[in-house]
Amino acid sequence: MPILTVENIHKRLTGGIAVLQGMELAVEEGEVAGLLGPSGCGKTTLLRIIAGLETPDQGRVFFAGQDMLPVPVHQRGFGLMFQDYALFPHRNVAENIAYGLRVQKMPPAEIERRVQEMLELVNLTPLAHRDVHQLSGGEQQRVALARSLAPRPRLLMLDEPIGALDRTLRDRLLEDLRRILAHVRVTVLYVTHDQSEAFAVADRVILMADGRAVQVGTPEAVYRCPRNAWVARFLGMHNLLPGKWLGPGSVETEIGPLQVAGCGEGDTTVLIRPEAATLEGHQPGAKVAGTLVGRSFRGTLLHIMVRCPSGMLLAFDLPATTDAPTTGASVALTVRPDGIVCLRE
Amino acid sequence: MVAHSRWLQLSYWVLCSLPILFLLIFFFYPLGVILASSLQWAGLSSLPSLGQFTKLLWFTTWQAAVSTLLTLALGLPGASVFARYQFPAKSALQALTTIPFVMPTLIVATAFVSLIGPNGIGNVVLQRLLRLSGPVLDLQHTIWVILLAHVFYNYSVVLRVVGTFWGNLNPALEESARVLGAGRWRAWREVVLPQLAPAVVSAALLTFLFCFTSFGVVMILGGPRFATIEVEIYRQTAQMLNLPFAALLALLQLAITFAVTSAYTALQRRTARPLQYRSAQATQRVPGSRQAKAWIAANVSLMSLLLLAPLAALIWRSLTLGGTFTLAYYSALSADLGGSYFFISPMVAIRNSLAYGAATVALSLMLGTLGAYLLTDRIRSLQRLVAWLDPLLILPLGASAVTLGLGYLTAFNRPPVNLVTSPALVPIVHSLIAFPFVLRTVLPALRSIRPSLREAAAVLGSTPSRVWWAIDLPLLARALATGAVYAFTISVGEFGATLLLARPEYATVPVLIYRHLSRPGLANAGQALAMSTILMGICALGFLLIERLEPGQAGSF
Repeated sequence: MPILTVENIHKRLTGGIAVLQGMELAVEEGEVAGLLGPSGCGKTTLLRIIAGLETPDQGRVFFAGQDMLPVPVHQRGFGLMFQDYALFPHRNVAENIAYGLRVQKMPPAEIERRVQEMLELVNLTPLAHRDVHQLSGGEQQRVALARSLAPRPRLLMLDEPIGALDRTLRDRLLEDLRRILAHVRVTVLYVTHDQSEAFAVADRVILMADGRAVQVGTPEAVYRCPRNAWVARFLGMHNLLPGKWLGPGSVETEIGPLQVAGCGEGDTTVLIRPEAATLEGHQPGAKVAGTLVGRSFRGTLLHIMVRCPSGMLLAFDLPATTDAPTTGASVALTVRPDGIVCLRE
Repeated sequence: MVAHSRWLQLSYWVLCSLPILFLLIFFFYPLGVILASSLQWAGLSSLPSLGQFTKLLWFTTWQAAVSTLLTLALGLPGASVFARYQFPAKSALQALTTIPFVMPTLIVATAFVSLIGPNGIGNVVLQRLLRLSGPVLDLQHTIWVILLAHVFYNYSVVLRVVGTFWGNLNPALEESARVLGAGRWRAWREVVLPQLAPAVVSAALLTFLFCFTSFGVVMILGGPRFATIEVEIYRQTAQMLNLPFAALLALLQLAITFAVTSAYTALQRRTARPLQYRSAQATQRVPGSRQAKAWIAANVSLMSLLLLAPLAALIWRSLTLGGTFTLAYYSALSADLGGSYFFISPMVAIRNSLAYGAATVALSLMLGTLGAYLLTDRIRSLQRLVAWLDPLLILPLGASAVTLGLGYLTAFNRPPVNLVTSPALVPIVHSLIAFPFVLRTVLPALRSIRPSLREAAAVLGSTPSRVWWAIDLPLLARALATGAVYAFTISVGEFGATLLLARPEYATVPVLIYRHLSRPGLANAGQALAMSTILMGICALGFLLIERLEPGQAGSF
């Protein structure tokens, strides 16, 4: 029985833009659910509705079986970490973290203990009495996290928590976040537009587009079987070919017939995974031939673009040690059978 | 800075020093004379007792303090409405609520008389409703009408200063507090209010300043019983001819206002923007709940009642005689009713006002623009001087107009500089008060001109004067136009100094209104109302023009 259920939420912003159109969501207790979607798809609005900062035009939010709509913001017992951290200015780190505890009327000794606990959790113990405007971006993020975790929320919502930081900082803080969330074991709703971030942190991802949920599943399941072309593209896979069902396990595409399992009758879309190709001709699998029109070395892999005789452009990621031919030469690739997938829609 | 010839640099420096020279000659010198004369006469019996002195100071201070508190109490809820919500006709209402502030205090006084005077609309309506024979509201010449008029005048200061600042606060802070468990009121008190404090103090200081130096309102609405320092200065000068006492009072007032303006400018420098700044468009929302809508409705009603009713009453009274609609007052403006030596026809007064206005515009535009150039100059040795110049160049705002008039009477009444009989004195005084407004308007526009624009023009072959003509002037045009309108409306509405300084044949419209008001007779009162309405119309027009040219500028400093 999921602890958080969001049913058929509709929301229109001022100006008439429909930002949520029938959004549905279910999160299990203790799970880290990643809400993944492009900018403007309604993720932040949904978080605000769940937190109680906005009311939906239609639809309901249930937590532990209770309808949350009549419950005001300050009585919901949720935690929300804002994108810009929203730390209280001119108050030091410890006072910020203690705020939720003071509101709960905890005894001062308890508050002190809990604040220390939180500071240790986020590795900021020496900065307890620093003013927040003197903190760096990474430090501010950790204070914001500690502040939202301190009152032991029933549900923690994170709105692009590492979106505002630079690359190196982000990778490090992502690791910290995973560790902290695993340690605390609270139910988490993690909102981001970055696929790698969502995959790194979440137990389950919910892909969102145009105000609706498009696909739900574990990161592996979603990546292995994207539901439609949009999901495939959003996850970085662009080798999409229209195809016609030829017979069981066989689909006709513009680069020739391909062996694909699980395709339905009629028209379909075939996805060729970029990492499923190899230059070794003796491997079993579908053959793809064409001209190499682009190559770029990316450190851990070699990214190549191949133009097929039909004009279609395909992209593949080969291992970094591959000895690929030069641009303009013809190339023959073998695609592993499990790297070719039929999209359900 | 682009290198120029020495002759050009010299002429630049001469020009830029003009505002300072102007201040020295026409502000510091008269004030110095007042100081000297008051020291000279100290100890003589013409000075009042210490008791009278303290009583005067006490009244001026406490009425300003109470007015400030009242204005804050009514204005903060109004500011919250403007800061947080979007609702229909909001920008129109915002513009309308600033009109009282640009009204000359004399108009404020006559408007209140029209509303709640014994013959005022308020009383007429209430009398009819309650079927009483005498006036219901007898607030004339009481402290309440003074306080009310002060709130009327300064409400828009709180609205603008606090409202704008509040609208730029990051709402996520308050929302964080609410998610963490704080109720609405607690979240506001613990998170929003501390952020708002600098703006509230700024608005309070400004309001206190305007109420402390209040002249027209206290003199006309308060009647002979009440006197602030400013009113007393006028009475001692014009009626008792007791210049030494007046000079002493002027000095005291100057010291206090200087302290307040210093505090204000210091605060402004430190808190121009909130710590977590967000644009107003991002933070304002349409009211959702019934509570929010009721709150907005209540505040909008209060604003309309408090701010627009007196002005509407003024227009109404100028158009009615005994309950019937008439234009008699307006047509009588061209007639000369008095026949006495001191009486001039309203048309002459209007002509004088317009002429003074034009002269003031020319003078204050020049001084204000030069002052702005002086303050934005990048030469390092000048930077330290600039820090002093900034508050100094708006000091005339804090000094009272009557004090200035007094200063001119004492300083310029004998050769070699005998200006007292000259009509040029009035525009000089007006410019002294107006050019800080021009400066404040032109300065941000000037600061926003990137030096690279001028450098590009110079590299492309433009001479320095051409650079100014082609680059600076077009970019400053709007600010200059706004400054011109400010200067004009200030000049046309100025009352205190002009009352002291203007020779009878050079009287302006406000002076004439005052004279008519202080004489009995319906015709006189009618003419005063008609002229007040015309003056109000000119000021409102000027204000709307400012809003057009530089939206959001009017009423800000």
